[in-house]
Parts: sequence; structure tokens; C-alpha cells
Amino acid sequence: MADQTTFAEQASPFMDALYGAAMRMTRNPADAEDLLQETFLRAYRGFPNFNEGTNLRAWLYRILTNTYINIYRAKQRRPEQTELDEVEDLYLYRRLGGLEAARLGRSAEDELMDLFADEDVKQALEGLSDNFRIPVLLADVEGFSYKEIAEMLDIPVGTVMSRLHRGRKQLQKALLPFAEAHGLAERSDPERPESGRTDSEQSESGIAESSVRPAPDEAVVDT
Amino acid sequence: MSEHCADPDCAQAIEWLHAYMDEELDNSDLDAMRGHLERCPPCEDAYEFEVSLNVVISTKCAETIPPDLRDKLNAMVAGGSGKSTDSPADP
Repeated sequence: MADQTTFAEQASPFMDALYGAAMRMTRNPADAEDLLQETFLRAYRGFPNFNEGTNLRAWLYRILTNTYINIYRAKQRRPEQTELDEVEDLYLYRRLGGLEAARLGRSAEDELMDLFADEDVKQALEGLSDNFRIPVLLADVEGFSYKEIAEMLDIPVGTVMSRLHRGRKQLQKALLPFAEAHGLAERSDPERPESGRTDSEQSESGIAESSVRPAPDEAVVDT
Repeated sequence: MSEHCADPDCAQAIEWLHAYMDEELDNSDLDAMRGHLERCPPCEDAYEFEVSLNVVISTKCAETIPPDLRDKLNAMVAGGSGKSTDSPADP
């Protein structure tokens, strides 16, 4: 049993993080505000049922997540992207790993910190479909355990694991163009040899090189 | 599987990497994972990268709630019992 009059005080430390999560879920400030208001209303009303001594932060996120799923996801009507392209493991590491070796004394964390702007990461995360975005958000940004996420989303832990795994790989893939745009020199794709590629071959992830490609040379008219 | 290391253990380690990072790897697999990372610098390097990326992602997604929204939320939930703040319209 929790005393409702203490709700505001107890929930206060989580407001910034909850707002951040609402932003990543709804992808815009107006909906994030609505979502957070609805969440707080529900939490406040339900607070007498909250078991004091259990994890308030997880309880609030559970309400936030459910509110989002019940109201906003239905509203947005975004088609759920299915995982058409399975991204390889360590996608970004294979392309950016060893970055720190180039500049001595710099850790991978420092390099990555400089490489991506806040907006890059937010945009990349927001580009993921709900099925992947929510688990990645709850695990990587909010630091919840698989079990807590499973309870919030009402899905088995195994499903959390696989969505998280695939979601992270998709996020890494979405981050690469930002790394390339931010002055990262074009790096050779470990999967494809530099030479011997035909004209019809379009690189699937070759953002950097697509801009370098000149006019098509198949503009030869027959007859 | 992984081109940075041909050891079949590496494939297993890469599969476990995220669960290990999340401190969710089964106890029975922990020793094998730790042991592998200790003797395989490429996998250790990949692991460090994933951990670093995680820190970067959570750091860069941090937000501060707009003050007026914070006030609005506080006013909304302050109407309990006589603990009303300066919110005028209290049902």
C-alpha cells in the first residue's frame, strides 16, 4: 500500500528519464507530453495498489509502456516492419572497430562519443519499429533486465532476448551512415572485395560510395 | 563465422556477447565466456566495443523534461489530500 500524497515526491526523480523514453516511443514532443500526462494520471490513480518497497521505477515504466502500446501505437498505424534483412553480428564493430587504434590514447568509448551526435542516436533509435525499438530502449537506454522488460511488454524472456538482439543490430546499421557522414573515412567493406564488382551490383550499405558513383555508363543505345 | 578469429569458440562467444554484457548469461556459461575473453583479444576487443557503444547510446538519449511539463505533471498529481499547490483548478 502506498500513500498517494507521496506520489509526486517519489515519482519526481524519474521524470527526466520517463520523458526521454516517451520521446523515443512517440517520436515527437507533443505526443510525448500527452503520453507522460496519461501515464502520470494512471500511475497516480493506481498508486494505492503499488507495493511500497518494490521497484517504483520499473512500475512507472510498465505503466508508460502499456499506455504507449494501448493508445499511441494503435493511433500511429505504422506498419510493423518485419525483419526482412537480418543484420550480421557485430555490424558496427566490423566497420568501425579499431577506430581507437588510429588515435593513440583514445578509448573506443571516447571515439564513439565524438563520432555520434545526440540527434544521430535518437534518430537511429526512433527509426526502429516498435517491436525492436521498445526492447532496445528499455534495455540499453533505461537499463532494465530482460525479466523486467518481459513483464512490461508481457512477452516471454526469450522473445525479449531475440528482439533485443535483432533490434541492436538494426540500430547499429542505422548508425553507420551517421558515422560516415561525420568525417569517418570510407572504410572498406569486409564483405566485399574492392575491385571486380559489376555495375549492376548495388552496395546494400554503401552510403559513402553511392555519392561517388558517376553517371551510368549503360546509357548505350542499341540499334 | 567471425572473420576476426577462426576459433569455433569465437562463434559461441559472439552469440553470448550481449547476454554477457547485460549480465544475463546463464551461470553455467559464465566461466566459459570469461575464459574465452581472457585468451582471445579480438573477442575481448569486440566486447569492449559493444559495451562502449551501449554507454554512448544511453548517454546520447538522455533528456531533460521541459520545466512547464514538469510543473503540469506535479500539479496533476498534487491534488491528493489538502496538499494542493498553487494549481487553481483542482477537481
